[in-house]
Amino acid sequence: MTIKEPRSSQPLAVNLLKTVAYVLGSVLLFVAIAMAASAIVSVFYAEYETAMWIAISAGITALFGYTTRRLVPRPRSITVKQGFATVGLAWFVFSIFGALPYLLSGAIPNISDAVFETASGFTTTGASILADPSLLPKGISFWRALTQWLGGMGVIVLGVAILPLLGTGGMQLARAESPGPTPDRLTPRFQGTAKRLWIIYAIITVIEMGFLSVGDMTGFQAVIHSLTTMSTGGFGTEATSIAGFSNYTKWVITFFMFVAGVSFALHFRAWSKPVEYWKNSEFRLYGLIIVGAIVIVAGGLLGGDLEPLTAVRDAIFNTISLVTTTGFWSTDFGQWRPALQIMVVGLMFLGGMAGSTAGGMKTFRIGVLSKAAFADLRRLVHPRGIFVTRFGGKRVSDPVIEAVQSYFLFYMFLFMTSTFLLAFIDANLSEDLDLITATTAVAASIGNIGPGLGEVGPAGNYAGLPDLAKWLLSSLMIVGRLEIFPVLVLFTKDLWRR
Amino acid sequence: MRIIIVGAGAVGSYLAERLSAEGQDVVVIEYDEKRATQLQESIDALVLTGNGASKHLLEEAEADKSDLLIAVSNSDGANVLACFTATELGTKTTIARIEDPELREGADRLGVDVVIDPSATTAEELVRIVGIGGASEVIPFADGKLVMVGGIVSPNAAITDGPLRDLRIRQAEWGWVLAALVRDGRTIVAHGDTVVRAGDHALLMTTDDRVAEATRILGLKRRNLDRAIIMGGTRLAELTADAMSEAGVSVVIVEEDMDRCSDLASHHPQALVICGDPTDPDVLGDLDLGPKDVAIGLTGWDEVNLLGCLVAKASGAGMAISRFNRISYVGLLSGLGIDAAVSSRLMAASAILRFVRKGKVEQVATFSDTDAEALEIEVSAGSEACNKTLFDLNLPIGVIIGGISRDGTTFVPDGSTVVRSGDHIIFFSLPRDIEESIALFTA
Repeated sequence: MTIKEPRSSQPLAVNLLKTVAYVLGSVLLFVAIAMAASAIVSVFYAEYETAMWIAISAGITALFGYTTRRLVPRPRSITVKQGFATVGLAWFVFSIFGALPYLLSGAIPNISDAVFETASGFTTTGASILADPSLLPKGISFWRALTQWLGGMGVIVLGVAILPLLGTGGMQLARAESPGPTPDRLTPRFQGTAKRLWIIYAIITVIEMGFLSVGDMTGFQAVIHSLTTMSTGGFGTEATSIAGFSNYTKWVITFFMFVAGVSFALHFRAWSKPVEYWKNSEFRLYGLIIVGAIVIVAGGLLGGDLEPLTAVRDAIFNTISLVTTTGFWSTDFGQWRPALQIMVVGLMFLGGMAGSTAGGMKTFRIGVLSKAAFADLRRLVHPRGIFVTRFGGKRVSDPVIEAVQSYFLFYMFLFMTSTFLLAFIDANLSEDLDLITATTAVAASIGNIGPGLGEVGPAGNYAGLPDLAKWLLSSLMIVGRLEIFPVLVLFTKDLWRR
Repeated sequence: MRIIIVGAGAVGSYLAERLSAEGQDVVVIEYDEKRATQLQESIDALVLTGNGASKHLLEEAEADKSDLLIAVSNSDGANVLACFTATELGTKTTIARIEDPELREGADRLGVDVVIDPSATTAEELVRIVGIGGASEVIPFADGKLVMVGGIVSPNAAITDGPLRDLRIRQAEWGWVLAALVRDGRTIVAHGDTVVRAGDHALLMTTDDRVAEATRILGLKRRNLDRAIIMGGTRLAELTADAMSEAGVSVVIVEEDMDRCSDLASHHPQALVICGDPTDPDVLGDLDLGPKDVAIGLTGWDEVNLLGCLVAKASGAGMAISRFNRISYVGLLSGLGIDAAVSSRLMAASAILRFVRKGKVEQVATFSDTDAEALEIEVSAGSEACNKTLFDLNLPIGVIIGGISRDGTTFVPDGSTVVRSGDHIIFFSLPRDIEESIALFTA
């Protein structure tokens, strides 16, 4: 009993990088398996050369993953702080590995473009540098959709679900990766929860495939669009997104976009008891926001020269697509009248429920933020009154409120500084971009939506931006997907100090 | 295994942490919201807030599907009620901490399957440590016939003289086996070519009549302790005072609170009760401490226990034992004058792990500075190990057999010993090999 515990003799930074390497090693194996699946799809469509390049990418990724996993010892334990930083760093690295199939196959030869497309994939943003995705080889198109599907529920969460990755540390990692402030536990152990979430996610995706394949989509298109709807990604196979498909297809996708914006833990609970949906106050708020937004947008469109039925359908489809941050479009909302375009920008910030695959700020945060603000207002009227912020019948503790408020602050701060940076880059490297393009490109990247307005609107794409701008936006997508803190924590001194 | 723990106090939170790290499905029910939030941050388990005896909450914790409920909140009544409700709902086994001995009677009729009292077991352990005087652990197995003695190997101890293989030949006249060493925080399972060094924390298994040889080979200085200075007036202190008096050791209790002192004096007439600060050198100085005195820090605060022990050691006490709540202290504060440490958390873990392990596990012992465990298990008929010699058994590398109890006789086995069904095997195992080794002895 009198033996001294050895103190870690390594600086924190080294320990942290070791943890990152170990986690990456494991996660890259999954990425490699997904690449291999895409190679098989390529073979199926007789694209042998593409298949070979994707397979080589898979090989490189697997080799790298395997060696790091062998070389780096399994870290003993991970603190909350380290978990955040690990996830932040890991996402940047595997976005680069994910670009290999594009680069090697020659589908996207420029490295900035390829990394942009991959980051846009894993983060379920759906912004693209491609003018016409229908020209891509099938295997590459499949890989593109698969990155979104993996990124939707989270590659690290998948790692936790399948491997007992890092024991307790896995929980800290998965927490940093899961959208929303507090992950809902379906089982006592996080591994069980992660498994259930992935299973329900996969099941709903397959159901959507079934519905889509009986419409006017080909089997391949149904698979791709299901993968990218459920992840609220928005990559498609056509240059015109969903605009060219039948009304049936549009309604199916509308429904599943709505479903993808709902917490998957809630889907799991409500599977046998649908009334659980209605009992959930975040779900009710989510529904309310969507209905309210649809009413406003539809009102605006009905005043135009569109047929009423088309106007309402366009309003419903595009509003849900924007609020859930999917980024599909059924009509070029860049052509809408200016007031509605401002509405579009506003919708980009909302996002779906916490625990869904959607980006944005999340309904939970919006609810808490407005309730806390209202409580502050009442405090002014009754200086001695005690006001407790409640959400869903439960008290929201002060640390949670503070975290939500600082999240909002960081989100807006990041939005404004990045817009400025993007405008600055553009002014120096290419012709000036208009304000609308710069603001919406940033908002659509942080919020993981995809298309913005102006040059990067539904009819355009991100190819025209300078390389530096693409790297900036790729980073913003990752920052947005991981909900800011895991990345920002990398820039704090405390993390790197011993 | 699905386990519900009611109460996230010192014992409850330690159990939750240990069991969830082991991979069990743990649900903790804690009344205090702040504590619940804190625990949820640090462990991979579901933490519910509320009264652990409430039917509603136990239903939410899925008591009907749970294998074990451990009620270790600070209220005896709430613990019994939680067990009662859980049994009604269908939990298989319930364990309650009941401190008041009068409440224990009839608890089985209220759905409590096992009653534990970590304070009482800690008091017993303290008496054993003081009885041997020099060891840091004394853990009895097989109804006390086999003993695991732990201690810090002193320089020039006989056991440091060459690899264990040679030592076995030189020390062949009595049965002993060195189970493991903890060196610089790492646990080393002993093998033939292991060389023991001074300063290692050694765990040695022997029969109860050979404890003297065991302490000698480890170079432990045996002290004939005849007076215990107990610091603090906690329940554990009271239980220890009674047990010490019974064992013939005279007892001094030092407690700061005057009212508490008069209570103690009236309940324990055999003990000398001193009212004063146990960390005050003057108070301890008045007691004329000498090498036959043992100072035992049993207040509720780790820092007071530590400081009191250090002051006592500096004032001449022969030995100092401290109780720590924070187990990490035990390893960190070594060499500072604390000769042994006890913890009611570890005692509780030992008492409960038996029900978590599969197979006919009779007893589990846990240690403060290693996650390894010593287990006593009954060999089932038809198990893989049956009728094989230990040599042929192919034990995992992190496992060592320390003793066998068979038909009332106990012995330390060697490679040629044949395992029979019904044997009680005592073995030491690293955490990763525990499951595999239990499987060997279970049909």
